[in-house]
Amino acid sequence: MSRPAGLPARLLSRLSRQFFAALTLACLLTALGICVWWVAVADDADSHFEPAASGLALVAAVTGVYAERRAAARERRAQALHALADELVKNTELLGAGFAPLDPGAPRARVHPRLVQSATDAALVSGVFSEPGHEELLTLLHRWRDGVHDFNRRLDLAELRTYVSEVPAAELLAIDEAMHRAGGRLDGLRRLRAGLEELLRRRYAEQPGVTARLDRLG
Amino acid sequence: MAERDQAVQRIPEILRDTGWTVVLVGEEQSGKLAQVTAGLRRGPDPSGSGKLITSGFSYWGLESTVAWAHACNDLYYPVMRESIGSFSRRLRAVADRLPAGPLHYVSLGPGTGQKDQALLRYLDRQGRTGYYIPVDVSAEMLRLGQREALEHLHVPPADVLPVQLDFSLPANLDRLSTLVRRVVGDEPVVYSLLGNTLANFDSDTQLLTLLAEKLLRPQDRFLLEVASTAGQDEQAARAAAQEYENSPRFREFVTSALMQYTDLQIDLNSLTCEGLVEDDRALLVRVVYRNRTGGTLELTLPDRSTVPFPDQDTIRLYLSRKYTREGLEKMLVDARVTKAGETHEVGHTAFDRPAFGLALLLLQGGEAAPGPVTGPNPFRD
Repeated sequence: MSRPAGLPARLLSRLSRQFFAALTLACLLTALGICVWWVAVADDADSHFEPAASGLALVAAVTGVYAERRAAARERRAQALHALADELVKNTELLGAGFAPLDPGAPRARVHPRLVQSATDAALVSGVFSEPGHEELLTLLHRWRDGVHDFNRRLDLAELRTYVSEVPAAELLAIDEAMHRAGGRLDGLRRLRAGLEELLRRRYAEQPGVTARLDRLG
Repeated sequence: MAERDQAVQRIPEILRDTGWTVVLVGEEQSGKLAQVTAGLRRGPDPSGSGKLITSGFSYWGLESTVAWAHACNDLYYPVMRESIGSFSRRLRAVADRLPAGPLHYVSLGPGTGQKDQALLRYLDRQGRTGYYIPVDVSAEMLRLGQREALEHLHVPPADVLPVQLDFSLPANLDRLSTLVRRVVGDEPVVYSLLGNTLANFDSDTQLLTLLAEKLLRPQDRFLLEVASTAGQDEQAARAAAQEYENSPRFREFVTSALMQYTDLQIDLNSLTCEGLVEDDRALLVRVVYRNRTGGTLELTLPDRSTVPFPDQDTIRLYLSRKYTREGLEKMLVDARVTKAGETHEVGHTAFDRPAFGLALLLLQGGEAAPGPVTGPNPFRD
């Protein structure tokens, strides 16, 4: 039983992160303005030291706390996008050649390759896309990750089924056919992959290195 | 009666002299002539679907046997030579799926016996050889094949029981099945139909169904060898026909039955090999003799009756096929047999020529046709 939050807490919880960032920056800039004015109206030379020191500290706070943080976030986002593009190239190869249908004349149990999702996981966990403007990518990454996880799990089950005991050729073909059927799991994953590629090309084309990596898809 | 029993008991002793072989004759041979005659009495049909030498009779008799042995060694007929040469290697790929322990071998249409020798040698090396029962409609072919099959092997003559029988007839298969079961009891038997023999029959699927139904028990296995094709178009069909056209020895073999059962003056230039696409299952090759004399000929048949052979009329001498993978799979499903092992080999062909090959399948029967698959399927929602 959690206590209902009070009105001030509820109001605070509704305020966005951007509001607090703007408030912080406004306070720092106001304080810096006061320091500049203080230096201007100070009577003697000794009185200049305190507003000057405070002003420099405030400049350091504005650049260090806010601008440097935004630059670091941009770098992390660029790294995440590069990793996502590389992962997309790898998964495109796997979804093509790695999942060729079984030869109906000589069906055999086989170990399928697994789609990779480490870059997707890292991008989601790190929060690099938590700023406004990346909602579409985040939604798609979640759907892609869930789809890959579900598909890999089904591959595990299919391989257990076909390797643990002797399975008739007809059953091997039935499993393979169900995997490859139009509108099936593999088909759905291929559509998700195409959507992810389209979004990266459209929304993140200006990001250096992303388009060049995606162009390796041919 | 007692004396006759004693005579039979002395047969193993007599067989130690290598000049003798015993053959069990399972049907009235004179009745076979009526089948040949009936095939040659059919009405005129320039398309090649009229008169014919029925399957099996292409090999029946001394001339045909000798001609076939020559054709198998013809340098211009590489398909058969490659098939024989590579058989031991292909057999090893499926041999580990054969039933364990002693194994009896029933060879349906042993041909020249070289492939039987490969299988018997494999069993002999492991000390698993049981009875060897070659079955053929031709007594001459039986003797030729038996001699080749047993060369340099340690199979006692008394363990060899050749049977002269047309195995394409249901009643004969019932009798063969009874004979085999009396001889081997409940021990496993491996049957074989090698050298693409199945493709020589018009109703190949029905024949395979019949063989599986009449002969195969759950403990038995069936080795089936067929020719295969990767492509199925007009060009591939023409190439399949050319394989036969190129061999002079094969042409001699295929016309030997015509020389034997008719008084026709054979003209080898009147022989044509036609390649056709048979539905989506196989390439069909028909070897046809066409009257190109410009006039009607009279054929005298073995029963001394005569049949008109008009200009452009045909006699189908030989039928063969090269199966597609899909066609082969469908045939196995229809015949209610399942694969216990298989090996597919593509022959030596140029990159721009159709790829023909050989499939060796180890089949098992005695089971119901596979119904719809109902096992757990992770991808079926």
